[in-house]
Amino acid sequence: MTRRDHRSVGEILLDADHTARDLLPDVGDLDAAAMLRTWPEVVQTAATLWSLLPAAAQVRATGPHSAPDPIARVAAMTAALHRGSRTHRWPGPGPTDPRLRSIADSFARAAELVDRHRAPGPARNAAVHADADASRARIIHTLYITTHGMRLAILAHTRAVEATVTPWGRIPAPGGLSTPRSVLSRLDAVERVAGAYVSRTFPAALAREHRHEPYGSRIATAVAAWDVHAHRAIVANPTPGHLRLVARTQELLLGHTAVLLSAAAHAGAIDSFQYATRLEQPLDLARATWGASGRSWAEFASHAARPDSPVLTQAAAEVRAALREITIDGSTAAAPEVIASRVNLTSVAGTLATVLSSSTDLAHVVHDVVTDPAVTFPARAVNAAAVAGSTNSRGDGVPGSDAPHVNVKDLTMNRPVPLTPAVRALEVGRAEYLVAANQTAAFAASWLPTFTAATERRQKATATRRSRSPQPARARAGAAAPRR
Amino acid sequence: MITTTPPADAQGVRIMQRVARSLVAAEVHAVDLPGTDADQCDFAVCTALLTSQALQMLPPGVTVDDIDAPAERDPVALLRGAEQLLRGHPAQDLPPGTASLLGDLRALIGRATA
Repeated sequence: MTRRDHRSVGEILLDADHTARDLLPDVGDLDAAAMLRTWPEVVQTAATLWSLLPAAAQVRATGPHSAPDPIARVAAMTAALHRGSRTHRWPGPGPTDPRLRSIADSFARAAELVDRHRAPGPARNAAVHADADASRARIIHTLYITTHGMRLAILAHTRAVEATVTPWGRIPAPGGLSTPRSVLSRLDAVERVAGAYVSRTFPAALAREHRHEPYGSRIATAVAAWDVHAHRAIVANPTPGHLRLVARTQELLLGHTAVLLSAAAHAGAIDSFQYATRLEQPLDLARATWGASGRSWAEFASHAARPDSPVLTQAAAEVRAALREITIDGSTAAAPEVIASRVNLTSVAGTLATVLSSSTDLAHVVHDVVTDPAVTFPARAVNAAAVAGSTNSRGDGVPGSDAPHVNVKDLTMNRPVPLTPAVRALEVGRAEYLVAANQTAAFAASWLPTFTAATERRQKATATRRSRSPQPARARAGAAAPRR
Repeated sequence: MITTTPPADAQGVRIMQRVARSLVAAEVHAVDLPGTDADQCDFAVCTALLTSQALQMLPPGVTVDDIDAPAERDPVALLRGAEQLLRGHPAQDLPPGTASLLGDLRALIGRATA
């Protein structure tokens, strides 16, 4: 079963653009012939996607290479190049280039999405036209970068062929020098056509590209899904990898929770005094205990790495993305004012209150795993933990720790074995601390508004703000407010 | 003819095993990364997700149990090592999804060194 691709057209095109940019640092490793074989497919899929986009806004022609539809010229030039290359010995049949294939796949996928979701008839919405213009700019930019990468690869190929010319002027390489040189000049023309469009549209056209606004319920949905998958993964399949990912993601979740609650306190969405005096420190301690747990399970996982459940990794990635969308601004932490402008902090605080109680429950599940004698872990991981546990801070063995920790046969085969008593005692102690820290944080957060209360308070605040509006507006707002 | 060179796809699998092993090690050493706890945590989660991605690309039944841990301790250097392993091998011998893994790896290195 294949996973569904949830990316938007913009995200797919951005991906294609990044793949094309990725070609440039690797020019020395590129296979010019393979790229040349794949290029027609790239252009064909790009042209298909272009033809499905809503008609372009009027582009003012300003020069010899500024025709409004550069894709038609690029497609015609590529078709001619492809036809000509069939009669030459180079590049000939052979493998295709995986990165160019990936770009072509992206274009094809984007075309499929546009075709499936476009409205019948001509688009009249200015935002739709602006988004289509941005897509066109991305398509041509990707082709432009790819052409440049191909030219560099063919140039490297030409130099390599030149180095093989014998003193009698014989060229052993198939296609000699004339074919790659001719391809080079034809690609130069393609690059100029694409470059002219890029210079007019990129990156200005991207400014009006459609972007989804962060929506508050994304955090609630992501956190709820994460909670379910984390519980399921640990209960059904408590591998060190799952325990590690759960602990790491909980650490991340509580870290972002602290950032969001701090912003909520700053904005007055929650009681800032209660937050600073009661919750801030226990929350940080709970986060740190998950961090310690994550480091311990990462050591286990390093001896027993197994594929993690894809739904768990997806849920972890979604939680991270949903939180960073709000808490990160560019590459740095977002200011409280920026966070407040992105999301309704009162309702987010209500969601995060549930994070702390479910965090305690997850800590209990981890505790159950380490106390259950039926749960096994790979022998090498258990042995490494036992060796680490029986070594003092100077690196010497603790007296009485000479006996083998794990059966040698189990160790050789890396069979699943239960935890040794010493390792179990260590892990149980760590899990108890985890439970206690998370419980303390959950109790300390008991004053946070629940989701319902938060919603009601928000509605009251909204009603108060609206009461300052002129009468007709207030009447409409009151009529629209949902009852609870 | 007897040859000691494993077939190309076996080499690709071996590369992916070493990549996954380097990623696991990078996650373990995330705590050595300069920066705040939040930076380290985010790095560790991203590395864990990349490890999952790399492990998913291994054929069924293949694990990283037999791969020695890299001697390197610097988490970013471990990621760079993983990137070089992937780049040093013909892309067609590596499993589908390698380009995406490489892109994510580069993005994480970029963020960690920014």
